[in-house]
Amino acid sequence: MDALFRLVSHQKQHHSHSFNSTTTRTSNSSSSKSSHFIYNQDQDQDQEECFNFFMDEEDFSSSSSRHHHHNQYYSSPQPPFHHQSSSNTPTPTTSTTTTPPPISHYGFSSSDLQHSDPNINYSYSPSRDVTMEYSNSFSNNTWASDLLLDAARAVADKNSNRLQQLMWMLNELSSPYGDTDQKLSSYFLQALFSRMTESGTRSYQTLSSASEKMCSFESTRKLALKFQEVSPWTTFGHVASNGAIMDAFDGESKLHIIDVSNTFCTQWPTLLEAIATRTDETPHVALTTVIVTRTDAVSAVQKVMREIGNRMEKFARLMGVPFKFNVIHHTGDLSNLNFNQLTIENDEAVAVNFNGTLRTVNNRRRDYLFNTLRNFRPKIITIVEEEADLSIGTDGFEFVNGFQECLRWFRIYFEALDENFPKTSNERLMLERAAGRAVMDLVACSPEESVERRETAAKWSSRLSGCGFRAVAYSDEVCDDVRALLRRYREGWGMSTAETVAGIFLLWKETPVVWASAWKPV
Amino acid sequence: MLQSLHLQPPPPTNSSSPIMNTNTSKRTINNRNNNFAGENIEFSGAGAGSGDVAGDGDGDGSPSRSCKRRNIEESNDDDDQLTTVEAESSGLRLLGLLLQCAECVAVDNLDHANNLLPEISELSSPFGSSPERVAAYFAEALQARIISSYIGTYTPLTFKTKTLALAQNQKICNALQSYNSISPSIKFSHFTANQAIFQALEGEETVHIIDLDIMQGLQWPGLFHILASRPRKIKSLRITGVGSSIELLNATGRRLHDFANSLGLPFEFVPLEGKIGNICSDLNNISSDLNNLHNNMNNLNNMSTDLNNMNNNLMNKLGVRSGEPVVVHWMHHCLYDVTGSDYETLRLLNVLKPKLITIIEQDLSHGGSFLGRFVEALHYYSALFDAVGDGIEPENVERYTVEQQLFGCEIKNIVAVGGPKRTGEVKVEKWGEELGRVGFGPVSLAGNPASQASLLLGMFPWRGYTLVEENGCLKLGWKDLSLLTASAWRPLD
Repeated sequence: MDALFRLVSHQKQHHSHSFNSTTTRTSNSSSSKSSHFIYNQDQDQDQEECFNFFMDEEDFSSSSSRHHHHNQYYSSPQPPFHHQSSSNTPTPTTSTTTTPPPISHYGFSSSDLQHSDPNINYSYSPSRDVTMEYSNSFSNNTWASDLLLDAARAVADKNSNRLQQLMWMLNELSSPYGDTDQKLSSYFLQALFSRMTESGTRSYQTLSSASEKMCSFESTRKLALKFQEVSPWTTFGHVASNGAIMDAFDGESKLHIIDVSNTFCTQWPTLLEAIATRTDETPHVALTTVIVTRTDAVSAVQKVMREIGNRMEKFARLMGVPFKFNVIHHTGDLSNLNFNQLTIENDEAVAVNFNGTLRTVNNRRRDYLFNTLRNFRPKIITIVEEEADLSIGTDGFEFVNGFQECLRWFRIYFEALDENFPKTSNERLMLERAAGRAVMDLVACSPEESVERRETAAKWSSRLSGCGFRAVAYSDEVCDDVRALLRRYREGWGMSTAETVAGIFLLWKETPVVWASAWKPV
Repeated sequence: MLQSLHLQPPPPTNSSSPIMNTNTSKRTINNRNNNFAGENIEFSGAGAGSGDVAGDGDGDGSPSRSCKRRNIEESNDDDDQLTTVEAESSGLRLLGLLLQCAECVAVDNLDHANNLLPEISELSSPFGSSPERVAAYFAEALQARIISSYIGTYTPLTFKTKTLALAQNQKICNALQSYNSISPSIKFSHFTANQAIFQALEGEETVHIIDLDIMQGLQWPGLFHILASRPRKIKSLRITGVGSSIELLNATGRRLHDFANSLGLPFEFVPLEGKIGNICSDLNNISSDLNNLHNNMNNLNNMSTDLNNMNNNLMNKLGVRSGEPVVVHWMHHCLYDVTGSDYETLRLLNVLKPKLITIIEQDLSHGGSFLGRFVEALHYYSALFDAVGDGIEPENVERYTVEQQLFGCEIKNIVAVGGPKRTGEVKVEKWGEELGRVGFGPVSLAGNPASQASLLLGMFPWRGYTLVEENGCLKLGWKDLSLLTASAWRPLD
């Protein structure tokens, strides 16, 4: 790295950026020019009280407060962070339960009034008071959730000063490479920042395309396998769905599975193997994988699916199962997929398998999708989804509530990842980054574009029932298989059924995290 | 006299990584054991790399198939060459992107800088190769800087309540202990300074050491040891430890006390909470004194009385006794601001005129232009990451801890607005030069300290560290990049 470095740095050596105050800035030219000097005893004494700001000229460049003008939150032309440096004037303390009245800045010291020039940057004023406010949160180690939730409240209240204070603390404490609290803070802060600067969509796209660039068959495969090796998060759904499909297909000789999943066909080898070994006369199996993308950028996924298809075919040959593999790339919302256009033969029994993809459907199109499916009349539908209600609203109370649920959900997810992966795992890092993109989608992008809006089992069930589906219970054998699966993993995983809702839940530390269920059209 | 080195062997690898339960290989619907004999086709989490290769499943043996089947773990020459070339090109790409991003930040083009970061992040990882790890932390630092620029607040977060400050300090100290076991930097610093101090104390019977950033005081037991072994006994050994948390200072004091007692050394510890450069202004409101000076320009008597009062208060606070040789020691880092006001610190040293000043500086700039600082830091930490990662697997947990908690924190501070001091105040760049300007001259570390430092290095397993003597200073480097410079100074009059 060292040698590389010198090669490149030599090319960049002789920069001459002139950071003179000739560029238009909001800084007061007189005060910034004085920043050249080492120590100026002639400086106005008042500035001393406010913790001197003889900033390096160049440092001032990327710290100019003009950025504040760019977004809707700042109505005042002054840098919004006039904070008291001396402890004389108490900052208005806000308890975390009441919503503070919108204020544009905190109290001024007498010296501020003398130097009421709005362009002088008092940005080094230490925010003692606000850290003290949260000392309980820090002692109890709930700082990440407390700060983030209060930040959401500040967003909802359009309290820009408060939001900045909180973001300042979060920015100082967060790290995508630290502990769970630091990671959560990092990804949620990034999302809040994008939201604040109205760049959510762009940020999400940049994040997604950066990740797509790195995507390869090898990396995808390695990630999926590692995840399945250390936790039943995805294998739980696979075992349950495969079991339901096997039961539904009993006696059928031609099977067609329409797979709409995000697990890269890792579900199917075990099904093929079960088909090969369990039944006397091996049925024909057709597998149509539907890949849904929002944009036309399918190249990375196409590459992966082609390779996956090759391997599936070889595996089926190995198992002695007559097999056909097909990939459909669908651009746009899944609800627009025309199921009737899929090549299904009349004598095929059809199963539609959804694993982690129903959440990508536009909220208002979900019933439509289920109605379409009901008319399509598959033999069985298997559904696996993460158990959370991430219907985060755009404003006010709905935003805060939804944000809180997002926080709860992703905390569980990160904690589960943390406890099940090795401490220095690149695979875990990739999953965390994907979760970070999901957070960006939920917090900073519009609901219309969102592909991460998970719903609870209760909600999905009520939709399905309302659209003409009836739940199919898992057989005892399937449940046994699931329990046997869970026993192979570390402590902490469990399975449960719910009284009020069909299907089964995967539990992590007693909290339901994944829901699996099967349905038949009535 | 060779100091006892308190050598620790390098830790065994994987010392603290949890052993994951990977007995989860074969998964079937029917609970049966599954052998995917034949082709090593992995799909579900069943037997990754099971190694049962019995031949082709379908017998066509086409070359394209065997290429696709390449197991990641195995490698041949072609693969090695390919990966080296790939690694270099991705390393270059990372470097280029980082510099591009820094340039954007330097010219205030924060939007574009923000857009470059996702790609940099995706290419980097704290669990990868050296360039990937360095890039991960620099990208994190740039992200933090961009956000702080929008917010408009640049001060660092420090805890004011006792328990939290203590916890924050404790975390740093633990990470430093890990650092101490994977690199000779800390021991080099301690050892070299102690040697210089020991030499300066020849003929002295008392000593007062002021450690400007004592933390856990790990340096001093080494000095105690050699002082205790001296034929001419030490009659009084006092240390003033400066730090941010009185609890931590008291704990350090107790520990040092115990150690000194075990060696029969008469020891006293003076804790001083705060930053050395700010202690002056904490005691006396400088501005009011200066105001007085201005107003009483003609009244020279008042002026000198004021100055005297200030100085006396300072000396009291520091625990300085007249007639006792004073040694001031300071080991630099970028974890937090140590001195507060650099100017005041210099002024204090000028007033104090200690018999010896020992400093260990990082060869990094702390101020100046952002881009210059960034490029220099990138260079510096590339070498440092190479050093601590040398011969250790990328998944090593201890190295990751050191990098994330220490280096990552330093990098964040360096990249932040205002540099590692995190204030807009004037920063002293080269303390040696500054000391030279206020009446100090260098004490050469060539000769005994140099040769003994060389011996010390030789006792560690790590190859690649270099020791250079230059103008009386000792420089510890990695390959040919200087990481730390140890120097000593004494008053010239």
